[in-house]
Amino acid sequence: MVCVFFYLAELDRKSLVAETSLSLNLNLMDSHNSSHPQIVEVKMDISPSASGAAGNKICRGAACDFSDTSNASKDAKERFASMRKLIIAVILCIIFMTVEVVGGIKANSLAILTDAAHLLSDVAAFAISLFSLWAVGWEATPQQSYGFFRIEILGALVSIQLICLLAGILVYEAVVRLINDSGEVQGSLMFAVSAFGLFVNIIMAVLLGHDHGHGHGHSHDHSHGDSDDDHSHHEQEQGDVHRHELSHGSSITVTTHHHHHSGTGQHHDAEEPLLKHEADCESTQSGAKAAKKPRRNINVHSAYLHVLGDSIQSIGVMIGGAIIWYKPEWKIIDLICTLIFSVIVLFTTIRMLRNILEVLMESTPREIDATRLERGLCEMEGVVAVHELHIWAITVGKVLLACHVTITQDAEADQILDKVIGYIKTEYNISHVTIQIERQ
Amino acid sequence: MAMDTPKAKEAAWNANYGVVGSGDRRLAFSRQLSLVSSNANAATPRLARSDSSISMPPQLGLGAPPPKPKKLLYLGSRPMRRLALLLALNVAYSATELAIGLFTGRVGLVSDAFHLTFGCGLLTFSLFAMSASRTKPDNLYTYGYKRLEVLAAFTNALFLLFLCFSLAVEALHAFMQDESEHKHYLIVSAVTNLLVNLLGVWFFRSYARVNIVYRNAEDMNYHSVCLHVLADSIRSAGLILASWFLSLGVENAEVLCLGIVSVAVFMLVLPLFKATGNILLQIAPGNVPPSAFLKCCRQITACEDVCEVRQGRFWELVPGHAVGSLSIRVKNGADDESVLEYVHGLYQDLGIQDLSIQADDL
Repeated sequence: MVCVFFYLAELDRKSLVAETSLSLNLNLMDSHNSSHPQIVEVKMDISPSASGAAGNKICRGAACDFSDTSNASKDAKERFASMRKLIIAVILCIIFMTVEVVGGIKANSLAILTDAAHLLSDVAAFAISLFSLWAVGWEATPQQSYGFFRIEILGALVSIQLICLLAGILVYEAVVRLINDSGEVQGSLMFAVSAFGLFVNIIMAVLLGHDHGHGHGHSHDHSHGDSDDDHSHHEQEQGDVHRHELSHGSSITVTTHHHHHSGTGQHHDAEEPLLKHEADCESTQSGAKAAKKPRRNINVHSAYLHVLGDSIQSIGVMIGGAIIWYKPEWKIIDLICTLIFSVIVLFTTIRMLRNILEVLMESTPREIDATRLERGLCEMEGVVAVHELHIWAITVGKVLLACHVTITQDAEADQILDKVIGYIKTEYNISHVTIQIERQ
Repeated sequence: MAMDTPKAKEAAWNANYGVVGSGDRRLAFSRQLSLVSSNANAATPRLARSDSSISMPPQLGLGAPPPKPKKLLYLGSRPMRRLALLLALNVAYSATELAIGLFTGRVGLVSDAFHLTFGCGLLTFSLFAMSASRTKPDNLYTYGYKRLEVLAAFTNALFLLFLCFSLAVEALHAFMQDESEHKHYLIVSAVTNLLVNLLGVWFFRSYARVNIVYRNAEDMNYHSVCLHVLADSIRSAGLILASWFLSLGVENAEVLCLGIVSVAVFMLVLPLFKATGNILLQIAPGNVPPSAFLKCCRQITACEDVCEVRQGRFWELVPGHAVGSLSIRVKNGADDESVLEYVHGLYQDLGIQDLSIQADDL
């Protein structure tokens, strides 16, 4: 029986926390109902006819996804992979930093020490990302009923503020260089130090940005500075590489999430019917990052942005150093160069900053069209009006919906509830919904 | 004066301790009355949300001032005007400092000017948040723009943390370098900075505390602005003190003063940072104790039509505006409407207005 398999799959996930009460009279559970202290003893026969949809309502709560990330093996695997990458990056950074500090003290050069300080800021950014990654796995508490997913957004915000701060500091240094008339600044030293910094940053960028574990053509990614920037399924913009991907993107990525939790527990590379879009997309695009790994982890991405910003600034400082080396009297060009590159760095962060702000402002996520959803709901029979529709994201990729639906006096509340939930789930792939049915 | 007794009563009432009205006594008076009368009038929500500190709930009718006419560029609120003035002063000051520093070639002035510029940028964001948060909710931002104020407060707190970290680095630097930079021109700049910032503290003096009970979104923003200028003034005072000690011949005066200032700013900012961070992390409403939620759950399950309550999740959009969603299982054939009304009423008593309840029949 289909519903039996469905329930088997649900139970298999081990995501039955105190709130869900899948108290079936089918003895499928490992621990019996009466012995499990957290499950409310409601002995109710769940009729097969209602099983499909009712099962959706019961177990498809936010509890499944949000509070049990540790049981979501794919999520955990992805997190561990990201953490591994970041730890390697941190270790490399620390090694390089100590090399620079030692060299700077021995050569008694402020420039080298300053660059070591920049590497320290890299370490700080990685540390923030690591902490966010680790904190996301914490279990939800009654105080934090949605879990700790927001921490990664806040961590990314702090990271980006750090980038802005560093850009400002670099501009300040350029101004100081301008003021300190000749003699104190050696163009050759500046050039050499920033070249070394650039080399280090490129290694980090390669480590963080390219290691998806599946070989993809990434040349395409890096040629577009802006298209590189984001979780591709969230950008509905003119990234030409991503446009085709995006038309399937939203359904793929969120489906992957969804399908993981709907419970075979396997990694999403399995041949499931809804995922055949992926195969289509993969064949049509070269640099499709979204194909195998649906979204780049926002923490790794912010660390990557940090490193990218640093390398851009290193290039700027290199150019400035070369100019001062070549013609020490053209120092104003150094300042102009630094300003331009700082502005470029700030531009690379804008997209991510916008995503972060949208999540923090509890706004409707970009990939969901609220007006279309409302219209679709109103067009259902029995539904008179929809009001107080709120769609918002906990973090990039996890969307919730809450609304009040007014139905006619004689309509069946239960059926309409099922239909609405089913519609939202199939059309928009939002599985965490709360619908309040009101009668006219 | 008639205002005295309510105010005295207000001081005795714990929940109002720390309420700030930016000097607007009328709000203090009305708040006290609303707490008294709400027991009699259950229909009125206890925590009345208001858009600005001037508008008052219409039920009270205590000779409330007429509502201010809506302007396109809303500069009418007093804190906003003060902040705009403060910002203008800061911008002017930092621009002159930068110009003088560039022309005379003094690095200290330039670094101070950059510092101030960062601060000005943040104050601009706070000001922008104050004006933009009054926008009505639209299709994209279904909860409105109030969160901007919390974001501005968070950014301010973050910047202050960066500041204290950089002060610590400077102290370390001075410690290792072991040179006393006795720059006289910096004293003048520090004194001017101190005066400007003290003026700012005076403007926002009702928020000059470390722990404040936040009643609405603006509270957080104003508190963060006040802490910002307070931290800046502490820093200037520390610099002045350091150079005075140096002139007295105290060793390592700079290290000491910078270290103390850094620690002071950190202690000042941490509560605000935690509070704003918690709101952004969607923590449960702070003014409702967890036992109240449990009690509500018990009351709902005690209702004979209800089998079970699941997935009660509550969070605060801004301090004072709590949102929640709940899922209950109702017996077959029970009257959904009355159950919904009952549950809504229960949570309204806690102050949670926006609630979506999904009633599953089984």
